[in-house]
Amino acid sequence: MPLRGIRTSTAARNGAGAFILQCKRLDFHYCNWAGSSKGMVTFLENFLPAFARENPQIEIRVSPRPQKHPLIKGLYINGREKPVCVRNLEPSEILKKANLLKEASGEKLKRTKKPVTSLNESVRGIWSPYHGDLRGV
Amino acid sequence: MAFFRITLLRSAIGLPRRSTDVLKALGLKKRMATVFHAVSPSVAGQIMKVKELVQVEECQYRLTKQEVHLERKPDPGYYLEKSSSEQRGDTSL
Amino acid sequence: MFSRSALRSFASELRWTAPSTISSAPLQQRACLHQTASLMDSQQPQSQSSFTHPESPLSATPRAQDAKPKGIPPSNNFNEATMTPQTRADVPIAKQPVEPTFTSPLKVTKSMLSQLPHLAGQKPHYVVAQLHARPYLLTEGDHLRLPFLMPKVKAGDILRFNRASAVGSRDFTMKGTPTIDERIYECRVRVTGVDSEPLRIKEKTKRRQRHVKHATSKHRYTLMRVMDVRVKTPEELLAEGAVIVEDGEDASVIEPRS
Repeated sequence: MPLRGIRTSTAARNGAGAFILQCKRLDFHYCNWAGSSKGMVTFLENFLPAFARENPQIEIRVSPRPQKHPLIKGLYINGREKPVCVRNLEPSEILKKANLLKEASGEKLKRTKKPVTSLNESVRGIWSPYHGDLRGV
Repeated sequence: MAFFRITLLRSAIGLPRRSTDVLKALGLKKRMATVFHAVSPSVAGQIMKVKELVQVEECQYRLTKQEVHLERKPDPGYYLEKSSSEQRGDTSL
Repeated sequence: MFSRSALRSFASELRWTAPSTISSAPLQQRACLHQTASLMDSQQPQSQSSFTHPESPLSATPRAQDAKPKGIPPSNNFNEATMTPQTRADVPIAKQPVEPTFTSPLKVTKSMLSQLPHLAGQKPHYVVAQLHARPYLLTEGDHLRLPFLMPKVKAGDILRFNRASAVGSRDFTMKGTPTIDERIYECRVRVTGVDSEPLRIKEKTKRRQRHVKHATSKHRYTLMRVMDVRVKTPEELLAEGAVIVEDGEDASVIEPRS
């Protein structure tokens, strides 16, 4: 088998040049009969058109899901999906959940301690004891 | 008109009751609290009672609580240059 | 803090002069105050006393008016020209994330101008940006997850970071005193979204009780991507109207790597 070099692909740095919203699709599920969907139905009638107009880059699907609680599902560019149950919520609260899914990165939630993650090499290089001037102690 | 600007740096815990009372009279309830009092012999005497606990400056004006807070408040260090809606407007043109 | 003897003399003199104050001689008392203050200063110049002396002699207002502050001090015009900040909502424009308007042109020292091409020409650059007085070392393309949720920003917004304590390249660093003038460099970031941490559950217990309370928290954080970190060249600075001045004490300096 011939030797192959390591195939490198450019690391994604969304936002450094162009910016693409990570959320690509939002699915809204509701039930016409159940009481827990009451707020969701009002949201779909009154809030969703404006929300969709504000966010033309997100595909929005609305579909019934009978005998189940209402649900918003966000699908992301990285292939993950994020479902949020919105049973018994007011329409304004559902709008908040929709905005949350819109702005989310789609990554699994993690606790990080460091604020900055860099793919670049260190600007000033790595310190070496064998190079540079001698420093008095 | 001059004012004493008095800041409580050390707590009076473990000190005689009199020290605590003087701090209470000055209006200092917790550490790093700042109060302003017009310069007068009585206030000077009170300060002298608790001089080991407080830091005193003389200033010309009585600052409000918010002004004292703003002295320590750092700058945010950022501002919005272009909002996303503006950018969308640019691309559609 | 005061030294014991100094304050004692201060207070005793106040006590001495107190009767005279009542008999309408405030000028004398003011003079005494001022004298003791200067006396203290001469006694212990090395002490940590932060007793600031007014530049001019104190105004000789009668004692009766001391209780109520009159008029609005002229030094408090940083919110509005006429208002004093009273509540937490009153924040002057300089402390808000608002694009600054400059009244005076940028001042660049000669030594800085001579060294600036070295720094500006050497890529890549890093910047130590200060957000709410916390430093973030950033290079171009970095991902930044702020430890807080930034208010009033949306995904896709472009922000400028305008407080930097240092800007540098591999061999040169410009250090601010304490920050560099924001017109010398450009640091842009793009807001890419809002992230959240996993739900944290903290068990709260009291002694000798079986009851356990669960306190939950789930903070949200703003995600950002650094778009560019750039130092302007001297030509750009001069084209934008920078003024060349002589070297001063508190000017930012470019230091080569030692």
